[in-house]
Amino acid sequence: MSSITDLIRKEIESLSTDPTKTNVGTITALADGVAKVEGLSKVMFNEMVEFPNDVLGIALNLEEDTVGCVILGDTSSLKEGDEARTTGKLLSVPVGMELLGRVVDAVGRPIDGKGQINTDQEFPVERIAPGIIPRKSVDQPLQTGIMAVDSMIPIGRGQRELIIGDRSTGKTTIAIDTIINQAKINKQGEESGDPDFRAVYCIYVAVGQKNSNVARTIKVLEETGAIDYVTIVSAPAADNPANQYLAPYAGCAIGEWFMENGKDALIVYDDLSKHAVAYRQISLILKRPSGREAYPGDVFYLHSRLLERSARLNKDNGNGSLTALPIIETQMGDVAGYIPTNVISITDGQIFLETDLFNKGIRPAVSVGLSVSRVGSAAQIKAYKKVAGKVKLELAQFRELAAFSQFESDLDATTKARLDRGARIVEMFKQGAYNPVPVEVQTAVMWAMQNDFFDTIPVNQIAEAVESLKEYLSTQGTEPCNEIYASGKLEEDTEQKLKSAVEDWKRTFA
Amino acid sequence: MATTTKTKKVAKKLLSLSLDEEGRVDEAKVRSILDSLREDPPSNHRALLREYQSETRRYLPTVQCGLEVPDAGQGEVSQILTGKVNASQGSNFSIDSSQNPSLIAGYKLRVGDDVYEDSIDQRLENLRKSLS
Repeated sequence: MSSITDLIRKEIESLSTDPTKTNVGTITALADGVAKVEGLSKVMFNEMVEFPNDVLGIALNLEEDTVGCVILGDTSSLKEGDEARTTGKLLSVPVGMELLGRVVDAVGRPIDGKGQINTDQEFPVERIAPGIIPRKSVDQPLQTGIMAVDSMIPIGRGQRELIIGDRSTGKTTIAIDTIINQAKINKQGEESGDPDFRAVYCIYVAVGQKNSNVARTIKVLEETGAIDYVTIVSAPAADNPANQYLAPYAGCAIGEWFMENGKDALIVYDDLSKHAVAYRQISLILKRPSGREAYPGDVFYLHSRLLERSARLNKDNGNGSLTALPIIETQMGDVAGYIPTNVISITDGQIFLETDLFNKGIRPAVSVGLSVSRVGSAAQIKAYKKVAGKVKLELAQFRELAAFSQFESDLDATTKARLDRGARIVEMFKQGAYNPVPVEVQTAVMWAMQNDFFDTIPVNQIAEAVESLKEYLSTQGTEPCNEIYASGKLEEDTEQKLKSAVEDWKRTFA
Repeated sequence: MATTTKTKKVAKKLLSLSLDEEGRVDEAKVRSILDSLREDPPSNHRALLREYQSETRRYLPTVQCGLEVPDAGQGEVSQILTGKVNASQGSNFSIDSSQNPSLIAGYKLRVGDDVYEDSIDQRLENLRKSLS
């Protein structure tokens, strides 16, 4: 009892007794989550504005006579004539390791029922992206655990790689697989006690999604044990557009804390199409001039300033990184839409997912022709680079030839061989959801494919054979994989061991 | 009817006509403007009146300040604050004093958009925020 009164006494003692000065205004109009406020002559752009009943807003439109404030909470308690006051603070969110394993809203308040987040650090949601000097080129791989991605479209730490495709083509699955793989690698690294190991912490930002989808994602992350390394920022479709607009910036601020403290982080923005729609809604209510597809003129800046905050910092600045995986949903496969082209031009490459491939059962439905990573093999370990160098070309040739060969009955031997190899590679890349594969196992499987070990197996059994080989390499023939994991290289003696392991497996598989 | 730039300009002109030599809003002048508008209403009468009201509402805090004290017994505080405001803002500044018992003790002074407050009510509010 006395401790409670002591607590209150201390709080009273710490309170300032000086007169306060605040800048105030009056709500003159309130509609659709936006308040027009008269007064507030000293308000700053993006400053938090306090309304009655502890409702917060952000000053987004500074006009001659009025200020347009986007309300972040429940607007039903506000009315015309209510007082609004400046806070002198930019919108900030709590940051730190304490956020791992938690689900927060767009302003960093916990919504997972696990109690308060005990962190005393805050970062403003809007920050200037790192300049040229503190940056370093991307050269460390970020393994997604998805063979089709890691081999053909490698992603590096600090890169921005767009995941783009129509609805229900597996965009979120790729992002979640990547998060699960980071958690697996983190656990493995922590268990190994390697002092040089750098964990990758993840932030998943859900914008404008159904609550059921977010709940499903959280469940998957919990079941796979990845949740301990993930912070989820949720601004579902039921949330007001202001929260949906802010959520990616809040998530980015949380990620920047890791980057600036010399750690590696991965952030998934799921998805930026809905983010642009939320921003369009706010802009139209604020009566900003609209442009193409009714989006405001600064919709490019909306995404560029967000994605530019992802970077790889050099050693003098802590060597941290923030990798971004923004997601964009296209309509009928149209990558030439306004928002898709904007984000394509901002990012360092894209993973394009095709509905046709998805429906054919080729999952992940990665389109080889339209997908690219501008970082390229710089973000691959040497062993993988050695075995995966030609695979993208082979697969692209296969897709090209397959289209033409449909009308040809008599094909020459070279074409037949290419088609045969391509069909096998396609089967090899088929991979179930939430089942990422370690890079050393991927390297070994790819090596076996390049060295014709799958050539005698019928195409319709390749997927089964690949799964069997993966299992064999993870349980019995672990030595070559362990060597690849330790050195990151595929030396001659490792190759010999791998050869004998694959031969052993093939005997059992046959 | 939406407010046009022209309406805004006219409303600003009306406001300037409402001021006395010392820059204060003169009630008699306002009444005469309203009377003449009523006699010969312009096409955008309602919009013009609204804009005139907004302009006046925005202008008033720049020439007068509001002082709130909890009770009439705080005359000394009012006097000191009035003297300080006049010294800093010029003698043209008029002070509109009123009583607000919810303050409990202290004062609340509004100069333009700025509010200076030192009251028990405000301290209790700060305590509530820090404990919530």
